[in-house]
Amino acid sequence: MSDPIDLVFSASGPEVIFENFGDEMVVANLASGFFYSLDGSGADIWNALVAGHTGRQFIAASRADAEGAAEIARFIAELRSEGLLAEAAHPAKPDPVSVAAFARPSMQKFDDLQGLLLVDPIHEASPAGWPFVQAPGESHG
Amino acid sequence: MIEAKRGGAIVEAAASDFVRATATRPFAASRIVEVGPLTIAIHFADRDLEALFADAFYPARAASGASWSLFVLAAAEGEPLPLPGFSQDEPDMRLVESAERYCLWMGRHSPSLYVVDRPSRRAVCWVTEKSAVKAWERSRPFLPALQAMFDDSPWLAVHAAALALADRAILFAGPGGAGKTTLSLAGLSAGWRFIGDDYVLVDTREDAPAVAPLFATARLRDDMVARFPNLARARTAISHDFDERRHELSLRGIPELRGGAARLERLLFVERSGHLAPDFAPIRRSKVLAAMAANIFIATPGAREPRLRKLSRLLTAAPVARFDPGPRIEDALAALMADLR
Repeated sequence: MSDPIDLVFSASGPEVIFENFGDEMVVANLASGFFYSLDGSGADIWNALVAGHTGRQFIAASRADAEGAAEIARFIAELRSEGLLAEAAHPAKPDPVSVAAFARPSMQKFDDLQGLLLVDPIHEASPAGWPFVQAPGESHG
Repeated sequence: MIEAKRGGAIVEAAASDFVRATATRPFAASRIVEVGPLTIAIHFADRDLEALFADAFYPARAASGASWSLFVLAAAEGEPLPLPGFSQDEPDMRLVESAERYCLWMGRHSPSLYVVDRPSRRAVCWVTEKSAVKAWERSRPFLPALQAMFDDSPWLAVHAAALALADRAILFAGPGGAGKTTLSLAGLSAGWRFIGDDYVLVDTREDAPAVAPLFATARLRDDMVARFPNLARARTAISHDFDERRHELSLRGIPELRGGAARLERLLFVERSGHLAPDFAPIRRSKVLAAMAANIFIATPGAREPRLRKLSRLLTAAPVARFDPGPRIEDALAALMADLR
């Protein structure tokens, strides 16, 4: 079985879309409704992976030390466990990986949509109407 | 739970026939209204429906022909929904959409079926029970259908308030209860141009982001009425949704509110954090994107990816910040005015 940092990935489907705002990378999983903000070298790792590079190529390009390499592997595992990456059938791209100075990658997960999906439109909507949720202490009477 | 199905050739064919047949029916009343860049001819099958919904829109300024037609009708008692596979007994939403058509049964969320037929630029709102239409829905009628009409354009309906000064607009997004309505109505009272307090339209072109009115409505809680005596003339009704009294306002008769889009200068995420004076602070676009997208996805189901792309473009085009209005609304407006200069 291949080491995950040697695998080639792509975004796991058309439901996963990403946007680079310059100072932050946002990945949305439209199937699950979760949004992710990628921090540190997270955006560079994401860009490298969806461009067809492997985690090992990224580690080499970033000159991360052993601890950094472990962080990169952990981050890739997290992207996979959130359903954002799927293994691709094509070989890794041989061209150089573009990478800024290494910073510990992390992600912030936003679950706003999940909160709204769970609103009961009859009993839990606020007086402002569905899909707004009652604030604490607010009641329907 | 939302059930979304793409395609559905049988439903689409039935939807197309339904819209075509509806357009040939007699209608009791018609209004030509302006919704952002669209001019829409709304045809009401009876006067009750006109009374429920018509005053929520600004009349069209120009006498030019309508670019869309929207037909509003009510079901007879016991009449089944006119699309195969759609049932009034279905409590969940049901969505069938394609590039040409958008069919949404609102289920227990609202007694409404929306059918949008893009090739003919016609849409139908079929109300199954007029007495079950809530006041909040009358203040923002047909929202999912209107959103679908804008899907082939850069415009997007978003849950936000907006004010403008000299055609330079600020968009206020953020959670309910943060003060968007109070801020926008206080701005109206102070001479700002009121664009909306609940849902507004945004033009998401990166080189020219803009905001335009969507509805000519606002809703005041009882405790807000004394603060805005100048809006008394706009009051149309008292509603009691969820046993809370609200003063329903129709702003369509206030001429200075009419007008096209205003250039978007700033997107503020209104969030109270205990500041004793108005405070601007950096905020991550991802937080704003997640919050605004969630509301778009839920309130106007369908076309998630293109709508998210539009929202992303908007957040790229406009400077974004967190705004705590502080305890005094007058100070908040002064801070906003200074920020625009």
